Amino acid sequence: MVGYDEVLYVMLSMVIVSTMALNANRVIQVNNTTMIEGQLEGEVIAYAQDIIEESRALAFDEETTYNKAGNSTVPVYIPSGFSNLGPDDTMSDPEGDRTQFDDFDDFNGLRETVEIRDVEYDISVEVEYVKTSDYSTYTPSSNKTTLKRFTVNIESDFLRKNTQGDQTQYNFSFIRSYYAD
Amino acid sequence: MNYGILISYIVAGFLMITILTITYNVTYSNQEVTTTLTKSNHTQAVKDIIMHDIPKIGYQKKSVLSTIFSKADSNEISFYSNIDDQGSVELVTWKYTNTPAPGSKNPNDRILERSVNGDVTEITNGVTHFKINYYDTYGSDTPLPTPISGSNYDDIVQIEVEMELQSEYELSYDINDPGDYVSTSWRKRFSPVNLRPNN
Repeated sequence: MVGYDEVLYVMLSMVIVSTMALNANRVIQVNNTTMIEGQLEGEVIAYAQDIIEESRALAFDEETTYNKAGNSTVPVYIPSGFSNLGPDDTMSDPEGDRTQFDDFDDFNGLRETVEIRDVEYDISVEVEYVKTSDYSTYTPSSNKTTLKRFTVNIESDFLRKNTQGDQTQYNFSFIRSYYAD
Repeated sequence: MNYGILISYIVAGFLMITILTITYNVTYSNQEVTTTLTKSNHTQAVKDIIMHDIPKIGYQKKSVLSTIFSKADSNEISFYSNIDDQGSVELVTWKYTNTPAPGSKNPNDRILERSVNGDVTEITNGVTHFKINYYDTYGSDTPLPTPISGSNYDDIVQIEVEMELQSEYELSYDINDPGDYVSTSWRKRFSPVNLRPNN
């Protein structure tokens, strides 16, 4: 006949082993999450850089785009002569998608879903006029200025704060000065 | 027969099996993580060199070179640039060869070469995929057909590099399984300053 002592020992050892198993599973899960998140974050950073680089290759403003002779046209009054933010879509100069954008702020309001290695990312871009007094802190400006801040926001269903939590928002900003072009 | 001892042995056996399985799973997971981290470091190292070279395409101090490309293919890019900002302009080439990487057990692992004025550096870090796409319009989804002929070099405004690195050995959970190579990938589209249409 087995005594109660032995039964207690067995139960205790099972509790210890079960705790070990749960902890080990948690470690494995954390390892897998870290591996996958690292990969996906690499893609997020690369894509954000792609968009920022692409925008920098374009003119600072619709009013400073290049004419047919390849020369940049500059408005008489700076910065009040600059255009409104966003694509300047007209019949003569369509700017319906990225391939037609011709200046930095045309990306404002851009929303797209891209698939990179079977993972979908939601991309949105915001461009705003900003002002600064010390060139280290920048605040949005309601008036046109010679500084524009370009922010890329990226989210994905696979990148969350925790399993059931909200999607992590990745924001990448770049400030471009008209005079530093 | 002492049933108490018998049951204790059975329970102890189960517990031992559980402990051994847990240990094996954790060890395998750690092996996977370590290999992934190693590959990530290798990828980062190659990325750093690519990100140093490609944006400088056509660079020359205070001017832009008139001849920028020497070759533009899906597995090879050759361009002129004063890459070290000293002396004369160099010819920089990136080529993904068909030569298997020495010492690697991965059959897809081939040598990636970077050369500057013929001085070749072989990259044998497990590069299993390396492809270069060229675009003639910013933001376009359709790459130009390769190889690009010399008369169309001026059309190139963006260059996209796709790269995948895999482990040189297989990781297999079960000894009878074929196993998998741990892989890391990277894709980046460059918009080099000197390829801007209005330069």
